[in-house]
Amino acid sequence: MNSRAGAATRESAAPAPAEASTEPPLMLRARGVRKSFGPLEVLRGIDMDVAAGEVVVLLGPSGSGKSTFLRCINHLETPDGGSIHVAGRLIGFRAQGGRVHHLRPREVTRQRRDIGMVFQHFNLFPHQTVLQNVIEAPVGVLRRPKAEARKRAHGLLARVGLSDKADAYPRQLSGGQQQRVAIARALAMQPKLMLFDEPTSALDPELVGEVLATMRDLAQDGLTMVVVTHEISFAKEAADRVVFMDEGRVLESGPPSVLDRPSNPRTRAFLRRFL
Amino acid sequence: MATAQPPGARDEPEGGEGGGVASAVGAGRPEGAEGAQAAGRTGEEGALAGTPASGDGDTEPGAGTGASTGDGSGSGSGGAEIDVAGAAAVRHPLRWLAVAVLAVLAAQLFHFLFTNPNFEWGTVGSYFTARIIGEGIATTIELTVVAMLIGILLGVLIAVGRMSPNPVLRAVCGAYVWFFRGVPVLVQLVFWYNMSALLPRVSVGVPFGPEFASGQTNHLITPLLAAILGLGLNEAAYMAEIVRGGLLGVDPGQTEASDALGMSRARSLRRIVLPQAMRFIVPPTGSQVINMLKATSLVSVIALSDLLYTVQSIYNRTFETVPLLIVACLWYLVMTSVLYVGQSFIERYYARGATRNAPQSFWDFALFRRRRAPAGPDARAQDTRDPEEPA
Repeated sequence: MNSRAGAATRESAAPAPAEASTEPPLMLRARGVRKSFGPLEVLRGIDMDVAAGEVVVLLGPSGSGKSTFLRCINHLETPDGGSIHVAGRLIGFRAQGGRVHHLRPREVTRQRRDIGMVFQHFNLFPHQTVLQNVIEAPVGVLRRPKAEARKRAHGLLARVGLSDKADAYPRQLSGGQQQRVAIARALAMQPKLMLFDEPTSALDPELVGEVLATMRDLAQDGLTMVVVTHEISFAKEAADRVVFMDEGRVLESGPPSVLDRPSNPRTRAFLRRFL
Repeated sequence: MATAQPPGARDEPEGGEGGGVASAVGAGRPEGAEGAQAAGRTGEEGALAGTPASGDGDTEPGAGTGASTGDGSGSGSGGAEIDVAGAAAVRHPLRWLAVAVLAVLAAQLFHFLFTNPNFEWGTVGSYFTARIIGEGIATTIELTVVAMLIGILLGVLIAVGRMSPNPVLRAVCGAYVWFFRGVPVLVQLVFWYNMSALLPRVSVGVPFGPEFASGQTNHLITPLLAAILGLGLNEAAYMAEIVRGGLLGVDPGQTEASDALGMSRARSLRRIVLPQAMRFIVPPTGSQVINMLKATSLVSVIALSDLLYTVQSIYNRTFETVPLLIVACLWYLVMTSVLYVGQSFIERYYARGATRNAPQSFWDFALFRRRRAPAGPDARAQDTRDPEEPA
């Protein structure tokens, strides 16, 4: 925890908020986020603050809206109400002259560059090699020179322990390796905020460890992370804060120690299943 | 048919099966050579038991007997290790019968081909390489290529349009597909050919405003253009469906991943979705090209001198109908065969990353080069359970 706090301050000095932001450097600021799919109300007003360098783990039963909230953060889902700011910028909308406008797709696309995402099913590009996967966005979106992107990609692959797999195709890798490539691919965009959507849920139990280890490394390096997971052990070891969600609301939030003494009965019921 | 079978053919496998079951049970409790012999004997018993039973058809009590006997003696039997290498193959008398029938039919066909004077093979030979036939082939190929290009390009646009968030665009593209798939190509060809009856003059200009240029429809829409329009626009409707099917076949997670990486919709389509959709698009497109090559023969009705029209115009003069039609058939077969080969080339290229084996590069493949051996000791290790942990 202490080392994490140190990392947090180091990181928080770096990104200057793009727009006027009153609070201390908040990487994520969500207020009253609502989302429905047809008659189904998935998010019923989510408030959440994530400081720069903080690692927040979202826990909760399936269907509680964790993944939907995560997908609202990079606007893969458009929230129906409330607001989400990442690094001081309103995501998906523009407030102008007392009115709020939807952003054009191209502008949303631009905002997503700063927000990395890791998916449950990896979603690597199967027709590209590992290296091509990692450099695709830096070269194609950020217009980095290819040589430079390649060099950075090799560095990132080394960081996730896959230096020797640069020329392999995703299908030749194990699930755990694929997920680590996916993490490297997201990191290649140098995101300010990383979202992990159940990154180990699709993995065989013996492969979960390698992905969690990679994520713990990133947490220690001061990356701001919001992680949806069912891995309580990861929450205990790597999280600065744990947030419990159920039925589209935040039930409880606090340091990982709440995992041992949850106050909300529903949180307790949820956690009991993991003990 | 069953009566025609040699009885031995059925007996053998059954006997073998009985023995196999018996010894399989025995192998589980290895106790010694005696047991092995017992198992072997049981197997023989199974075979014997099977012999009389096999006469009455499908029920195979032989195998059952062998199994139960084996089970009974199994407790005392030992480890007879069966080696299946060199096992007698199952016989297929029906296959041989079928081969015999086909051989007779084939012989008849060849006899017909070579003895029937109406084929006039000499005439076929003399026209096969004739210059005028070559010109017809050139027209056929030209039509195929141009109509397919129009079909593919327009088809991709329509497919993307049908998946657009804009409902009007979706509806218009859907209507296009509905119309052009619904009207026979032959009718479309004739319609384009007779366009001047509907629209005597064509002009380019601002809608309902001034004209920049105009001309007689009959001068503009030559038979060639009518053929290209008829075939190409029709093809676009089919290609649109093929491309759409391919795009839908790509995991939506791919679009999400490219969205999350900040790619624009166009970029993600071009770099991520379309290359993967190609695996679903190429095979049916290959058949479309082959279909198109053959469909070009329809343009003979609008007096465009493709391969079919050329041979028709010759045999209308010389009455050598059959040999000239044979010439056309042979050339169509040659062209479609070339297309089959080309299709398999393209398919293998787009299959890269689809299998766990490292794919060949396009040029290695195109130049018939063997795949290079993996560089490192296991640069492309197949085993996925890699215990390595990132530090």
